[in-house]
Amino acid sequence: MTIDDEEITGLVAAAQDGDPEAFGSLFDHYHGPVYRYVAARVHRPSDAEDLTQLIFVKALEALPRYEARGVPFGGWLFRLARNVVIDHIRTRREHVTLDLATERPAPEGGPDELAALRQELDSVATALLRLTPEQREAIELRFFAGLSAKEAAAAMDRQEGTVRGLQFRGIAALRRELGIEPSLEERPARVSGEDR
Amino acid sequence: MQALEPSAGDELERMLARYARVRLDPSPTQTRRARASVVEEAWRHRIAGVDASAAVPRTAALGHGAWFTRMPFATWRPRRITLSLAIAVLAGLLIGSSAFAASRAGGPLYEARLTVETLMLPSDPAQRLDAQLAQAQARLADIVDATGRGDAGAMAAAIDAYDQAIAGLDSTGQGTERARAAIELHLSVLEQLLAAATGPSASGLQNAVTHSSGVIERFDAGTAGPGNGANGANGASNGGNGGNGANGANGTNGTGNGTNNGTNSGANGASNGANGAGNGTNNGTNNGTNSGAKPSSAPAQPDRSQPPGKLNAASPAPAQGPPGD
Repeated sequence: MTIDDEEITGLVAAAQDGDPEAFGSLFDHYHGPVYRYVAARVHRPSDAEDLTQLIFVKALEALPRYEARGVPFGGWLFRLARNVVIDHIRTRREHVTLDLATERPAPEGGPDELAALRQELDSVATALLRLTPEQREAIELRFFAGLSAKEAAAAMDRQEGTVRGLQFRGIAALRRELGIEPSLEERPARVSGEDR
Repeated sequence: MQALEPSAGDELERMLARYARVRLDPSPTQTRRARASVVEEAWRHRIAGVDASAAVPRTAALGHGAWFTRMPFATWRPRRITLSLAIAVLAGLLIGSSAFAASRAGGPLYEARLTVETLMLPSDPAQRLDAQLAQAQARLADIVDATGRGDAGAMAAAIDAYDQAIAGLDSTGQGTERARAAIELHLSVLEQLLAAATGPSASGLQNAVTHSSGVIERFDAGTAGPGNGANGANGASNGGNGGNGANGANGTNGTGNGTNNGTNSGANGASNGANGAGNGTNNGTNNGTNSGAKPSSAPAQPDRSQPPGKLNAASPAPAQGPPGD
């Protein structure tokens, strides 16, 4: 389901008025992105599931106090998600290897293809771990959660330009780690027509 | 606005997308489970919010005004409502725990749990009413829970239990205003559930809505004085309980048409009328001081065939592509 900003604003207003189904629609829109962001940060699927649920319950409780005032709802929700994850990491102090993470069914293929895919995913995971925490978070919010730069900035409580800079340096570091050469037109940055 | 947009490039974007899909995406089961739980929580908030906001203004709406505020129970009334609500919400929360899984609506121990709860009702009329209201609200939470899980069997069991719980409410003693307010709240919740329901669950919810309306009418009749023909609304119920009269309501209902014979001890007129949009025949024998005929007292139910427009709540989570150009 894809809904635009105007619809999100309407759903938020309805949810603030106590419409459970409006909140359900917001859940439908944001659950995947929030889960991906949380799963990228805590690794263990059971924790990701519990924390994601907790984030939405907290959002439900805090929703009456939400006022847009230039902060998009997505940014507000992910700031809440970020705080929940930080609290969790602080209290649990767990160190789980990425091998423990449960994988979704991979695309069909023979053993060789699956082995290659697993190797690629492990490489990506290792490359992500070598980023600075802020670069990694910018990448997670932008690429895994699909947030706009403005939303990611709101979530990280940073300026939009700062997030773009973190993203830029994160991408460069990932490319180096993964041995991907940028094409000529991608070097060093390109102008985008939309302000995502 | 044009902005410098750092691009990951096609190859890196593909790798990140694959990584997210295989390692980070929630499973459909996780998503369903989380949705049911979160929406259930939203309903609990709704119930709590509506009840709290409905508690005080009702006094003015009913015309009690200054007289009511002078009454000794004017101060504790909202608190008792809050207490009842807290008990009900707690009961609702307990439903979610695994320890209560077997006694969930539709579970093997559900009937036993209901029987125990009924046996434990206090004998003091005021306390009994509070306990009955808490019980009815817990059954409503069961309905919301079953709806969230999409469990039709549990929903039917919870709706039956809810109907029984509200049928036993005393409409003649003290605290009827509180009870009426609570059932009105239940009605609004049931109507919202009904608007989103389809298939057999819609018909069960429709019955519950009808029964709640009937109970509200019964309360109105109990407080509004003689000659009201309080039982009309229940003619529309299908296959449910009569729920009429202050004591021992007996309803014999056919499919689609209900014949309801209730004995009332209140000061109500004997009502004989075609009720529930022509669906029911209601014959009430009353021991009151007045007698009169009420031709049609069933409230017209809103058209449920067109639920309010909303986004498809069952849609899967969006597949958001990575940012870029």
